[in-house]
Amino acid sequence: MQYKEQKIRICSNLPLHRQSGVPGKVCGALRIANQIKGCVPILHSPVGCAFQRKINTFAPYEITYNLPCTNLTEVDTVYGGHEKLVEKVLEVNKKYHPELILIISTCAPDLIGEDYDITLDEVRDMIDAKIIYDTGNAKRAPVGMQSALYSLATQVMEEQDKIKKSLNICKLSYHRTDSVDEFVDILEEMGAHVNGVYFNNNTVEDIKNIPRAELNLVDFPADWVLYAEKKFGTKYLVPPRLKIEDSLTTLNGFAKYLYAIAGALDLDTDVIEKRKKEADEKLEKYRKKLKGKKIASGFSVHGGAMQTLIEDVGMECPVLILKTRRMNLMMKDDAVKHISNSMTRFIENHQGYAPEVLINPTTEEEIKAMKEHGIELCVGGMENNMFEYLRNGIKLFDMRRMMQISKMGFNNSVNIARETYKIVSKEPKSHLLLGNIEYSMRNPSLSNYWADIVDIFQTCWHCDCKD
Amino acid sequence: MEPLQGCRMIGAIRAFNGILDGYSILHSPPGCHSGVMMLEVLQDNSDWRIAVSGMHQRDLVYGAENKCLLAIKKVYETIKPNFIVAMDCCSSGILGEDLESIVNLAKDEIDKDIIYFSGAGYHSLAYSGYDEALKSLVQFMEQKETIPNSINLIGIKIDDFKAKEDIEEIRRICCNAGVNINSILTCDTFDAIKNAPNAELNVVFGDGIKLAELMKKKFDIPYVVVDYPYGLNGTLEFLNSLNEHVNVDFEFVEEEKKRIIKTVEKVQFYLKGFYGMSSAVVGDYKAFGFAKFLSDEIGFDIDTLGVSKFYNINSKIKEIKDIVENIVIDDRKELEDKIMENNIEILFGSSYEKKMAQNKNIPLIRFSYPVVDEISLSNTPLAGFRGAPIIIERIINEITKA
Repeated sequence: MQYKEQKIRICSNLPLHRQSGVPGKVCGALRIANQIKGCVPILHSPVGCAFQRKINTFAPYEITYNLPCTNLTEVDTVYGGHEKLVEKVLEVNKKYHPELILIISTCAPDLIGEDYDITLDEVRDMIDAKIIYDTGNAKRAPVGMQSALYSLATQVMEEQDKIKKSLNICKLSYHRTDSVDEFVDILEEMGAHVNGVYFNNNTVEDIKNIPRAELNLVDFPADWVLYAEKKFGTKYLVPPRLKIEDSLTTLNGFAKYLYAIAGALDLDTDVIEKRKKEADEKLEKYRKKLKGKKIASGFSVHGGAMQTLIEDVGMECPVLILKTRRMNLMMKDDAVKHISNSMTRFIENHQGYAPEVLINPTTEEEIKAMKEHGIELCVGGMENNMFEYLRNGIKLFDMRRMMQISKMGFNNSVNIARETYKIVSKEPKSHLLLGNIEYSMRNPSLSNYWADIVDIFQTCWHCDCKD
Repeated sequence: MEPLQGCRMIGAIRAFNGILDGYSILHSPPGCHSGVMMLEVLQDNSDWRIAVSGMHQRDLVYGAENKCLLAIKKVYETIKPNFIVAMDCCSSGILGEDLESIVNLAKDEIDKDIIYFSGAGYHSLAYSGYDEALKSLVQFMEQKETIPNSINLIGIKIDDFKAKEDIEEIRRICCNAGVNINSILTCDTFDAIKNAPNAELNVVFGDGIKLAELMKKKFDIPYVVVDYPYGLNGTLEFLNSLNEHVNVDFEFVEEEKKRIIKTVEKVQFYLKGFYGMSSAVVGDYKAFGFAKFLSDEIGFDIDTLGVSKFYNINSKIKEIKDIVENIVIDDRKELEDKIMENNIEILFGSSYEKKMAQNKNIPLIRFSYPVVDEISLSNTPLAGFRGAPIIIERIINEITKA
């Protein structure tokens, strides 16, 4: 796609995922289908689902142009859409010559209990493509993605002979899979065989071959991961998601993760310290300029920049700005408290004194505290009024930017330090046109208009989530 | 067959969303909501008036009418809209959620107009959802005093590409012609829509004919169905149609004509090159007016016209059959095959036709719904006298800058 990086960047501020809406399972399944070369998804749905799902809420800059659907009508919701599905499968097979057809079920066929096994049995011998289905039944979010992955595991992956010391790198939510070059390089130098990087432009053959690996490196033990372990004997390893001190963004955190991989596959560990040292040397350039400078930070659990800036670069964080509104929607108070305590402990351990913790402050209170502590950079974004900061001479390292610069490897720290230096060394732009919009007190990164929309959505969506 | 348009819910949302001080609530899982959100918000980050009750998986077993009630109350409390519509979608429709009762319950606490609309996508296509949504507004209409020489515009969709600019241009033209626009359905306040029966004439741009028929029956307001006014001739034709029912002052037209000709002179050599160029036009009702403009005023040959279905489509097809080689009605597959097989040199359509244009390596000029990969902030309408040079500019630039 032309200008993809730029499109991602300008769309990254749309207040989507769990703010003003949730993409829905079809979007998730389509995200997976679109990552597989030669895969054509079919929506078993009324026409509206296909019409609007051409734009994927997970990636609004991408349009799925070929999105055939079965065009279910009222009659079909009574008698079932079996015939239409068969007809569409044959049509898609003839028109697109796909390697894989993924039937994605939607609300209507889910509720009437469409029997996909019968359909698949009927058409399997009539088409060249491999055909599978997905009903979107995963237990955890993102449901559509997890369910599609489970469908791939149960219907595409095949029993294979294991390759010794081999592993799969499966998408880690805070690192884009197209940014794993350094990770692959290190693992190979450690003696691992990287069987594949998933799910990122894979072929159907690549998917079939996932079980060749001895180890899956995953974000969390999703259903498909557990299935792959049980059925194919591929073990899995997850990074420490909620341990602030082991964040993969720091040199030590990433090294610890590599040691865990090495332990699981009996790999050479010498390269870990060597690579860590190389990155540390690169960091020195930024350390000289940034060490001792003061930052304020918002919540930073995994994949955040705060840990790197404090631990690797030597910056200080005298102010911790904790906004609990969003977290409280999904987490119990104890969990939120645990995270904030861990953050405070982490900062205190590194800089020798505890930060001042502001719980749900107003923008004025934040700025006042930052000024008192001589802070010129805040690491946050989702809950901060960037324009009020800039007007008061405080810069912001927006964590949405992290998603774009993140890479899996020791050099991630270097990237974070470089980006921080870039922000710190420039004068804040305090006359931005966007600064003239009135921002919400309750949700300061959004205008009042959007803050109301978010409030309405979150009230309804989370109304029974803590039951 | 795979239609070129969305489902009933999408059509209805497009109609209700044009009530500028109204709010829609989808009683559905989040997918329907975020889907329509993308269609709207990618074009305009400042206008999003659709909430979702947010049915979870378990709600599809036990029902979640209470969530719909909560959403209505929350929307009212936060936004205070003058009109609320609660709409079911596929899942709540199959489940048989009783939203009529929920709306009645809400009415006990909320002193605003609230209605229930059955929006389940499997019921019908978008055009039908749009028409029935418009029709549902008649219950709120009140006929008071007829405003002389006034019209309502029916069939406007505010999320059409450059719709707001087009409305401004149509408003300007009507103003110059001495015709008052009483109400726009739908791109108006709820009060203005309630006052729609005060107009002398309903002017229907294709969709919304059911509303026009009902208003004729109930309020005795005649209606006229017109093409969307593209180009010089198209806009004149629009004024002529009005003139059969209200008084149109044509005096200003000569100046407009001169202005267009002057613009045409600036690109006369490029324009000659368009004569006989084979094109395809894809869209809804507006595609007819657009195809006529391209053919009659620019000189393109229209090889293929792909249109989504609407009421009275057959009579429109009869009108246009002399200038179009192939007509494909609401079938994406057939349309793709035609465009790929035929010798088409330029494509006019929506963002969804981009891949086809890329595969054929031909320019795509966006004019029809949905346009999600181009925004419009400047006052550059496609409709009316002012629209003609802008369309020409877009076509030439698209080719020369490639």
